[in-house]
Amino acid sequence: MSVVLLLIVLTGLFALPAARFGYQPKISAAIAGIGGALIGLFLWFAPLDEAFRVLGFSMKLSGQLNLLGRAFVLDSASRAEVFFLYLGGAFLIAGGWMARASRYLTSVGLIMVSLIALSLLVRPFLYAAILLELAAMAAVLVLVSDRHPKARGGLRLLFLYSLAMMVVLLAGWILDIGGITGTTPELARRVSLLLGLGFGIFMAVPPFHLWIPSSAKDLNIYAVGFTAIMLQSAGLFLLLRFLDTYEWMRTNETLGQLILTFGLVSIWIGGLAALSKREAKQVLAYALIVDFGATLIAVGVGAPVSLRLALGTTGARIVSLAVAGLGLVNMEFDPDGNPSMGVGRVAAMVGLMSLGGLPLLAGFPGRWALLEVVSRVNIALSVSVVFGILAIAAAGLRALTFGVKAPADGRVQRGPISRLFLVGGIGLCVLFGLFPDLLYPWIADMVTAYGNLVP
Amino acid sequence: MNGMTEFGIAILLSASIAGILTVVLDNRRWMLLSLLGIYSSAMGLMSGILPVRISGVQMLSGALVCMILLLSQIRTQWESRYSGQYSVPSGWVFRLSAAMLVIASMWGIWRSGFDIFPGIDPAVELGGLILLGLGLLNAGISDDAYRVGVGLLTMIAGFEVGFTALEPSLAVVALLAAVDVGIGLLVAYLMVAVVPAGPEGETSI
Repeated sequence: MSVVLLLIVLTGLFALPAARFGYQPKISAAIAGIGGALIGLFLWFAPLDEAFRVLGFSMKLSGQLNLLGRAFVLDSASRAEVFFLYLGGAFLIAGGWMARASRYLTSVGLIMVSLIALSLLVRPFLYAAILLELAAMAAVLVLVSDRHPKARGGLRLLFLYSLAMMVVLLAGWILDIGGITGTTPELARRVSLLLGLGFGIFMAVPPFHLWIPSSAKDLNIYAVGFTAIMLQSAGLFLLLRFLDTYEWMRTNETLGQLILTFGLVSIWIGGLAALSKREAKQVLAYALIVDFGATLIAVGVGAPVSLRLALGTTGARIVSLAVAGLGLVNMEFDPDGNPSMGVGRVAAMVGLMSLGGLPLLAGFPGRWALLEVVSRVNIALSVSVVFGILAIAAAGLRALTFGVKAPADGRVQRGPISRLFLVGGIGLCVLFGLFPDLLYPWIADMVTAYGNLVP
Repeated sequence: MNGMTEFGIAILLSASIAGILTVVLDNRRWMLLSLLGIYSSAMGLMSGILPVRISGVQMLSGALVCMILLLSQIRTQWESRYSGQYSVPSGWVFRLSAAMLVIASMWGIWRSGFDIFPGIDPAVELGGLILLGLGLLNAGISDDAYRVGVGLLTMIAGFEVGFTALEPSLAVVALLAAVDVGIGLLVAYLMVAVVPAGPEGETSI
């Protein structure tokens, strides 16, 4: 039996009841969250190509599934990526019951995670672009709902991902047919351009980031963060896969410079835009873009240690976003509509500062280590990383002081469990900030799967 | 025209006219009919170089998409008959001029020899480029889910024409057909769940 087929079936088995209980957020989030975590653990621990016995039956799991003449392969590299995606997705989905987001966040969110996972398994991996387009469609369902009916951000996302799908497919075809080497500079330039555009969209590099702030303004911020992080993680893994597979890409200095430029543009535009915004939701959206930029700089530097950091910060980002998003959605207000200093506001502050990379919080160790790495490469990179940290800290402080509005649909009713979730989230941010070894190494170790990138 | 057959030119013209109509028209019924025209023309363009069983898949998925959009219009009792919610000020004269400019640009790109779809039949390549360009235009000028959806579908139909000529595998055609149907379903969902409320561009249930 194929593990990939089981992945699809199990996702359906958990997504269906989660959808059935869509109007009961706690039950739905529990089913999809626990289901996602179980699938992730199953994919990580399942013995491949070895016979074993279950309930007296002999079984053998294969890591491959052939569909329409294309293969979906679970190998050591994709295994770590898929495990990470499911676990990260499950973490965010499980907290989704407090987010007052679309009822599809849990069920379609899980399907979206599985589509992203399948995009990492498909061979040849240029087909990943089509699966990511399908994931973007699922993301629109997560974003736009009867509770949050403004479709502009979702439509922008769909438009951009359709464009990315086309250029990555075309670039992949040229790569397959053209046989690019160091001696075909014109072809390499054309493919670099196409891939640059495609990955620019996948990694939400300005100006392709516009769907995020636009969605943050009109839609549920937690759902926006969830979709942005999941889709960006897929883009990051796909980029690393391309770099690992094609030698000319690893040795192409122009491409390395392009990735670094993308990172710088993301940090500066994200930071400046965050400073110009007063609304906390939009500052959180731009903080995500700055964080994506830091990841791109880590990839662009290309050293094994910086690649480890790129992956490690992705893990910290999930924790920070969950805390900031849930804090913002669950903020308390006094009868006059002004925010009070409750656990929701503290969570929003801690999550946002952690995303920005402030000391003692989960995002800090990665940002600090990145600063150390880039200071040996280029002073402009160091200045940019520091600017990103300071800009998000300043914009976050201002937005959480002046830029929070009471929800139009009444005051937040919060029970002891949600309070526990928020306090637990704050605790996690501080714990991972003080003891980064609890989070970073096991995510960063995924980089060893890219044998050519990290020899 | 650069080795095109008369049949190729006729199909190319029909694709261009159908594409222009989706941009210029506001009436959703006529837009839907034009979209069907785009899929028919795309099948015509592809049938010259691909087996009918492959080009037929695109026509089939296109017809399915049009059916989904038609049903969603009926479901909303045609209450939003016009797609007039634009992100930029644009009357039909402006849109027609923009569409002609896009076609001229695509013609220029095609003539310049910058092979976006290298080595394929010239009529197919130009047809694909024109649909791509007109789809981009249509999706870019509006915030209305229906128009953006039709624009995206036109854009992807143009890409399918060019790309399946390069990579004529059933997997590509099937996955792109799934994308078409997915976008159709999504647009239908947005039309049913999100109804434009007024001239301010605000939306409500």
